[in-house]
Amino acid sequence: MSEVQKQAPIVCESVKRFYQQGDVTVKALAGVTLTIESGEFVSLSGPSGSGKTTLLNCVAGLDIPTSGEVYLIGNRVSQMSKSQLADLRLRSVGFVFQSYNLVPVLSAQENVEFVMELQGISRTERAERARAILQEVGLAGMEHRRPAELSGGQQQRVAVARAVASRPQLVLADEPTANLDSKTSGALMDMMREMNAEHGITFVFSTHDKLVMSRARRLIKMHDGLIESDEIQS
Amino acid sequence: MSTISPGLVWRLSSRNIWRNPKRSLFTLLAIAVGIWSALSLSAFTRGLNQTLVLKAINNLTGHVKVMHSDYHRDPVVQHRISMPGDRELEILNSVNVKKWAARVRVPGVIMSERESYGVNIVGIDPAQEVNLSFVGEGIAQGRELKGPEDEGVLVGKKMLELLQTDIGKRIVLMSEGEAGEIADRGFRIVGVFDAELEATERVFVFTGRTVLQNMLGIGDDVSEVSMRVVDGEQDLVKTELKAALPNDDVETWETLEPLTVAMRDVQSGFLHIWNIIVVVAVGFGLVNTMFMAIFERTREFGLFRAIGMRPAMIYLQVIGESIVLLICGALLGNSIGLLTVHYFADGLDLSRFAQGLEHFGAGRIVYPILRTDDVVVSNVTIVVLAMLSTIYPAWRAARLEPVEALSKI
Ligand SMILES: Nc1ncnc2c1ncn2[C@@H]1O[C@H](COP(=O)(O)OP(=O)(O)OP(=O)(O)O)[C@@H](O)[C@H]1O
Ligand SMILES: [Mg+2]
Repeated sequence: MSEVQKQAPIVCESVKRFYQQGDVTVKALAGVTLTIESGEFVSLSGPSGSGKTTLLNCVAGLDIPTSGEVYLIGNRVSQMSKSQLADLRLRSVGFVFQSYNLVPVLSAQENVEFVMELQGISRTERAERARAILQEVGLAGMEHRRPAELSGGQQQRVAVARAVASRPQLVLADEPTANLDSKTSGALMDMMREMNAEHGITFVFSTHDKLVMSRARRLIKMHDGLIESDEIQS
Repeated sequence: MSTISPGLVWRLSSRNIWRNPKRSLFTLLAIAVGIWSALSLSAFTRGLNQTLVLKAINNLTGHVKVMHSDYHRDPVVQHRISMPGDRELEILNSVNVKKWAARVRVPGVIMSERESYGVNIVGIDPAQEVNLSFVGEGIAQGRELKGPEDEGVLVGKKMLELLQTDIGKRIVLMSEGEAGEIADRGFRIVGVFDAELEATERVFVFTGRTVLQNMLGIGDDVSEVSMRVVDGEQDLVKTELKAALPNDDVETWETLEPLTVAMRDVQSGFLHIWNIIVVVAVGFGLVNTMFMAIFERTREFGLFRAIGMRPAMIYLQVIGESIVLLICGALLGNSIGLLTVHYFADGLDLSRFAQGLEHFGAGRIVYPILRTDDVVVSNVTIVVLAMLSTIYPAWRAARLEPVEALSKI
C-alpha cells in the first residue's frame, strides 16, 4: 500500500480485535482491511454484534486492536501516546454517538462551541461559527436551550453541529439515528450529506436503518467481525 | 494545542454545582457544620479550661509558688521560709510578675462553743491578695481584713454554718507552734467569705499574717510566696526564682494542682475525640457525595475523553466544583461559629449543671474563648480533609477509559 493511500482519513490493515470472555475468545473484529478516502460518505451496517462499534472505536484510537494497523489521517495509531491521540481526535475527528452526546449543563450553543473552545478558538469566532451552524441545522432561536429542553432529534442535530463546527476532516457517527423516527432520521441524513458536500468532511456512520443506508454513497456490510460486502451506490 | 481552557473548566465546575442542588447543599452544610462544631467546641472547652485553671490559681495557688523544700510533702510550721529578700524582690517586682503575696499557712483546728473542725489557717496581708486570690475579691458579709496586723478572722459561709456561730462571735484557732508546742489564741469572726466551691468555704480560715506569725512564734517567716505572672512567662519566672533560691522549692500550678491538669487534659481529650468524630463523619459524607457525583457523570467524562479533552481538565473541573463548595461551606461555618461564640460572650450559665460541674472544680459561668490557633487548626483540618476526599474521586474520574465510560448506561 502506498504512502499516499495512508494519508487517507482511514486506513485499516488486517485489524483484529479479540475480547476474552472467560474461556471464550470473542472475535469482534476478525481481520478488517479498509481504506476510506477523503470526502467519502460511508455507511457501516450489519447485524448486531458484527463489530461496527468496535471498528469505529479502533479507528478513533479509543480501543486498541489486538493486531493489525490503523492509520488515522496519516497517523499510525499504534505508535501514538494517549495524549497525542486525544489531540489528534480534538483537531481532526468529530464524533456523534447514539445517545448522550451533549453536556447537560451547557446550552445548545455552548455544546456546539465546546470542541472549538478546547481547540483554543477565540470567543467571537466560536460564537459566530456556532450560531451559523445551528442555523444551518435548523435550530435558530434554540441556542440557549439546555439539552433537556430539546427533543431527541434536536439533540442529535446539535451533536452533528458540534461534530462539524470544529471543521474536522472526519466525522465518526455510531448509530446517530437510532433513537429517531424515520422522518427525523431522514432530515439528519440530509443535513450530514450537505455538510459532506459543502465542507468536504468525510463521514462514516454505522446504522441498522435501511433508509439511512440508502442515502450513503458507499455501503459497507459487516458480519462476524469481517467485511461482507463493500459497494458504491449510485 | 489542547491545553486547559480555564473558562470552560470554570463554567463546567460552577454549573455542576447547580446540577444537583441537594447534594451540593449537603456537601456545603457538612463542611459548615464541621467547622462550626470544631470552632464552638474548642471555644467552650477553652473557656471551661480557663475557669478550671483560674479557680485552681485563685485557690491560693497562683501561677508559681515558692515554699520550703519539704512544705509540699508536709505542710507544717517547721517547713517555712524567710520573707523575700532583695534578690527575690527584684524578680517579684519585675514586669513578668503581676502580683505576689507572702502567706503563713498551717494546718490547725477552729473551735466554736459547740463544734471544732480541721482547717488551713492562713495569715495574709490582704492588700497583697487583691487580684491574686479569691480572698482579695471581697467578702459576703461583715468586713474584710484591714492589714497584716488585723486580729479578726474570716471564715467561709459553710464553716460558719458548721460551727453554728455568727459574725462577731469568738472562736479559737489552734495549731502546732514553732517548737512543737500547742499554739492557740482566741479570735473574733469579722467577716464571712463566699466561694463557688463549698470545699473552699470549709477549708480556709484567714487572719492577719503578723498576728499568725506571733501566735506561732516564727518571727517574720512565712510558709509560701505565691504569684500571678504575665501569660507565658511562668517557666521563666520559675527558673529565675529557682536560681535565686536554690534550697527552696519553686513550683508552678501544674505541679501543685495535678488534678486540675488532669481535668484539663481530659477535657482537651474529649474535644479531640469529638473533633475526630466530626472530621471522620464529614470526610465520609464528602467522599460519598463526590463518588456519587462522578458515578452519575461517567458517560459525560467518557464523551469528554473521546472528543479529546485532557484528563487534567476533567480533574480540575471536579476539584473546582468542590473548591467552590468548600469556600462557601467554610465561610458559612466560620460565620456561624463566630456568631455562636459572640452570642455567648457574656458567659454561658451552667448553674443548672453546676452541682455536677463542682466536682470538676469548674465555675458556674463559662466564657467561650476563641483562639486564633484553634480557628486555624479547625479550618485547615476540614479544608485539607475535604480536599483529600475530592482528590481521589477526581483522579478516578480523570482516569476513566473513554470506551468503557461511554458504554455505561
Ligand atoms: N468490552 C467488551 N468485552 C467483551 N466483548 C465485547 C466488548 N465489546 C464488544 N464485545 C463483543 O464484540 C462483538 C462486537 O461488538 P460491537 O459492539 O462492535 O457490535 P456492533 O456491530 O456495534 O453491534 P450493535 O449493532 O448491537 O451496536 C460483540 O459480540 C460484543 O459482544
Ligand atoms: Mg454498536
